[in-house]
Amino acid sequence: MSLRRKKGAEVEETLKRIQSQKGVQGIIIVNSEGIPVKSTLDNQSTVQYSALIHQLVMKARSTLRDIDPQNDLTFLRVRSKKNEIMIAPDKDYFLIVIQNPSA
Amino acid sequence: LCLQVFDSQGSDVTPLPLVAVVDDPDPKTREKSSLEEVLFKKGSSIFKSSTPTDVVSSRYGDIQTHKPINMEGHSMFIGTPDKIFLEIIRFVLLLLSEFPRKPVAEGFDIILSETDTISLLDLPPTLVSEDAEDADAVKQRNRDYAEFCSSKMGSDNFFERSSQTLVGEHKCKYTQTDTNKSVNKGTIATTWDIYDSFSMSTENRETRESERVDYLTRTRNKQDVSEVTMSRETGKSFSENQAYFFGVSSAAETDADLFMLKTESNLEKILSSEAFMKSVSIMERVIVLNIFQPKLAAFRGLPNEEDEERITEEKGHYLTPTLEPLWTFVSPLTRGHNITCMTWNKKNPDILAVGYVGGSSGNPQPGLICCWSLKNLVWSERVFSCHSSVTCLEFSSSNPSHLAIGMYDGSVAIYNVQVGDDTACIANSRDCAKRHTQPLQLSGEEREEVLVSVSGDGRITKWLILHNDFNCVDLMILKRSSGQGRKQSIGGGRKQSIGGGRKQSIGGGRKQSIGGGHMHKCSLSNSDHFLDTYCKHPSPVTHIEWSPIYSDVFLSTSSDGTIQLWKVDTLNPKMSFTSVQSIVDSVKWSPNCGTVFAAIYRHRVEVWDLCQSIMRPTLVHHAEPGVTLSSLLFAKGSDSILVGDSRGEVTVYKLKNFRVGKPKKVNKLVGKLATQENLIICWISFSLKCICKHQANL
Repeated sequence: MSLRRKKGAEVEETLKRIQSQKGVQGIIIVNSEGIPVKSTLDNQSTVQYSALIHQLVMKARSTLRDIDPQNDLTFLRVRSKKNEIMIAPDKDYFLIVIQNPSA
Repeated sequence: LCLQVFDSQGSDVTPLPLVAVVDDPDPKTREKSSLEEVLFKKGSSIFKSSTPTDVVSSRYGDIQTHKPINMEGHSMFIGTPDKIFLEIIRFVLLLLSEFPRKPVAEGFDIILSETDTISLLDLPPTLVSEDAEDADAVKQRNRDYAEFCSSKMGSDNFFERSSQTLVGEHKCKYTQTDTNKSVNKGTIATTWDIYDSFSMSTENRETRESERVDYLTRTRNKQDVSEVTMSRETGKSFSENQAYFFGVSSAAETDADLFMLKTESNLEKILSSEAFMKSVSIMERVIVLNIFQPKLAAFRGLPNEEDEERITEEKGHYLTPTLEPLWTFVSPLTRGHNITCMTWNKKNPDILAVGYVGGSSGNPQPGLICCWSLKNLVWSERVFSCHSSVTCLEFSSSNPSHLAIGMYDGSVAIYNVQVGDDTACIANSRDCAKRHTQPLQLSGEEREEVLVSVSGDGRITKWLILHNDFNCVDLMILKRSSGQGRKQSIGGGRKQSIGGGRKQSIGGGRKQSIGGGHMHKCSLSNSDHFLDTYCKHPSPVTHIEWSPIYSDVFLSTSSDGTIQLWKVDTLNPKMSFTSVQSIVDSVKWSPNCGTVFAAIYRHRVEVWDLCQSIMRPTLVHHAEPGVTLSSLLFAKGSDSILVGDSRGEVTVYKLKNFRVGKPKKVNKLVGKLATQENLIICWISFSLKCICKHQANL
């Protein structure tokens, strides 16, 4: 198996493992334009989450970079009463996972 | 009037009504509508003002009483030129409406043309020749007139005043147009925006331009393109992006196919990128940490809210110390493999390496090594497979990412755990018939670190890495003493020099090896014979463990079920511990407390605390039926032990209700050991908590 395919398989495996962890409600991958490219939630929630979270991440990133332009956002966690939203932002994509660890 | 006008292409070019048209009260009379009727119709407010005025010359004065005029003839109209033009249009339309409605396909042409120029006043001058008789008179008259005109200015005879002209009534004009769409565009020049633009080199800018061009050609929604790329580049407000996003979601069907293709290729690209792999693994860790947070908090000794409540309730009661299972390191790859050895990384205490015996029953059985991290309790970070079962492993102190393993067939290998799939140095299987190797490592601060292994064929060898070679040098060969039986399992205990290089400089490294029942002390510098021999165990010694806190004390275990405590300079054991008649596989000191050690029997784990009792273990934990416990490890800085078993699982237990040494017991201990003077000092110095209490008592 070529190295690239191997890595792709590894990524798929890891995503499956994440999906099967306790309390994970959904995984969304959003591309740089804000369009969700992969999701385990229903369409309406996906669209809602991706649009809103995109705004939040932009705001967070702009806040950080205003304070120090050499800094950048690497991970964002939003803890709420019901669950926790974890966002791994990057130049080309966002990875969003919603988890309720006590469920 | 529902008139529709179509041009040659069939599109509707009906002029929109300018005025709210009042319906014709008697449509029947439309047939013979004349110009006059049109112009002077009741209800038409346009002509109220067009009564003859003084301005208009008398020539047109009697137009009102004029008879109806033909269209083709000279047309004379009242009113200002633009009004006239509009009325022409209206009249034409009205006339056209009388025609029978022609089919739409046939168009007809309306030709509008200009009327003749209307002259309002025309006074031609009279020309008189210069030679005529009354030329002089005319000239004189002209001159008089010019004088008269110029004198008019300041003279009293003439008075200038304005006169009122009749102002025509204002007419409302309604027009209809499409609204001008306006698009708002703004940008915020934030500090990081400026920084980004400056730090981008010209090449980067060019590639970005080309990217943008590609993007432009691929996109359908042209009006939002520039906004999207700009927002992508500068990361400013999302509102335009959102507009684009919603526009996309309502795209036409043909566009939707393109859209799907594009996102699929996008997905492929994202999934295969390096950064995404990293993000996903970090995400997995975060999620797992979330799930296991209470367990990990217990592991680290952090107070847990629920625990505190329970503790306050149960204060004062003496509870049996137990092992509370926290979590298990297991993965589908390792199920069923017996665990032989475990070790922590020297630099990063969160990393654990575990060696497994191979699952298949072939000979040689392939072995497995897994590196687990405390950050991801669900999946091992690294998995290496080796050609033979792993018997022991050890992390290096000087190169913290190097892991040395010894295998069942006698070969030694070094792995670089930073790399995902690589084996660093060569796995050397050149040595003849070495079995049961147990590599040791001596850490020295002055000298370089040395990898030393002891094996069942009686050789103690030092391994060196030169260039690409993995060489070994025999340090010592252990002779079998007095023909003890064919199979000798020789192992070694490692001496860890806490005090740095000083102790080592005396005798080099000091090691011990076990031969059936006997223990030999040997040093690296003297390779000829043993320095000392310790004999006590009747049956083969299985394990030796040096105390990590006090450097002259070690424990030995054997298959006769006893554990002996030795001090290096006396050839008889100081203390002996027995609990059950069962083979003791291994014993380990606790790195946190000098008087605590744990021993692993086949089916139970015992934790001894010498401050509490030297007669029986403080804590006994039984394994599940059918499971053999095979390996043990303490965790530094934490009240936990790790137990590996034959199922391939490493279970992490927390020592619960395990209180270290009460002061009264120290006194008892002191009294008991009064005869062995050296040991008292040793023992008291071990338990850090007891020191101050003892001093207080003294």
